[in-house]
Amino acid sequence: MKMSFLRFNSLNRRSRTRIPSLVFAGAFAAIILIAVFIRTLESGVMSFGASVLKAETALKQTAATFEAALLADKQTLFEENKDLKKRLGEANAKLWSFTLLEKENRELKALLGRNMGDTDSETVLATVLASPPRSTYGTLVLDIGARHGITRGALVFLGGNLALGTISDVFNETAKVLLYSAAGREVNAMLGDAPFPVKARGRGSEFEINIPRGTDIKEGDLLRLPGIMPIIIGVVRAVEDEPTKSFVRVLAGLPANIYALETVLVRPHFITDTDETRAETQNESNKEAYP
Amino acid sequence: MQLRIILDTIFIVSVFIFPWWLSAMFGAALAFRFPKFFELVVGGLLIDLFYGASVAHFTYLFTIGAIGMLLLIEFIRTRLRIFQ
Repeated sequence: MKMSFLRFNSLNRRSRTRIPSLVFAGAFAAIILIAVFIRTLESGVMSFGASVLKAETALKQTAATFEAALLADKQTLFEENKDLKKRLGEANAKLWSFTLLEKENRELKALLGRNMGDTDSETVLATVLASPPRSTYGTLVLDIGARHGITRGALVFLGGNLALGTISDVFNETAKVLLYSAAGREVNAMLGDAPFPVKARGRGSEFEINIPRGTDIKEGDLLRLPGIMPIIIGVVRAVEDEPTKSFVRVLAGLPANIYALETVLVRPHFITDTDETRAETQNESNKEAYP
Repeated sequence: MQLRIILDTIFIVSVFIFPWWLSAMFGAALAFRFPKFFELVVGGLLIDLFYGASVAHFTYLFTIGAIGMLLLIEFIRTRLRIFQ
């Protein structure tokens, strides 16, 4: 009977010890190279990635046109359904905004002519090239960049007063948006009628807020950024109140489905005083003070 | 070599088009098929650069993950009879 064994000679043993060391050396060299050229690389990658995603979108549109021609009736129904869902989302978004605006209007009238400032400042429409779950870090990739006047820290809206996040990185033709709900991101916000600010912690597609028991919070309450302008970032979906605990866990969902975003609005001159921008401003002023 | 270049191109494009886990599975399969598949690390880096925000935590999570995966696969590969 013939049996086959692994050849275990000196050459094989040498190659065995050589492969992991080669892998280590390669990985080490790659890390050094990446660390040196990272910024140059990032710009190129953004440009290449955006081209790939734009090509994919164009291909999808062509395919949809062919599909519509072949399945006219089903396609009509599908489009109608999609359109109605979109309209429903918009209507809900407007409703939330109106609830808040109505309340604010009353408060402002009480203050006699308080000026809210220019809310309709310049707005740029952007197509979303990539959004979660494709985008892994809770970011959006937009098809507009520095050429369109976008700046870091600018607020990104879905429409009306519904904000999704802030611009985190700007390139020539593209920009990245870090969602407020990105895992691990903490945002100072106001919740419902609570008289104090809360820290909303992003969990990917929702927020988690811990507030003291006894605070009057219910489902449907709005999570908004502090400030004169009412900017909504979430809506309370669940309140977990356990009698043995001194804090209540509130889960707030996003005002829109981030998995199906097609377009967003960017207000380049509307920069919020978020933790990141504040830290950045602090760094810049430190650099100026201690060059 | 020709096959590797074609599959490399598909892998790099897949990083931008498919969800990360699908690209990771594809990359792992290629790392088993081809020796010293450093393109896997390039794929991880592309994901980090394209989707990662500079202000977020763990900006190079996928690059580190890809290096770890490559080392693990290379370790297993050299000990499997079919790849001798």
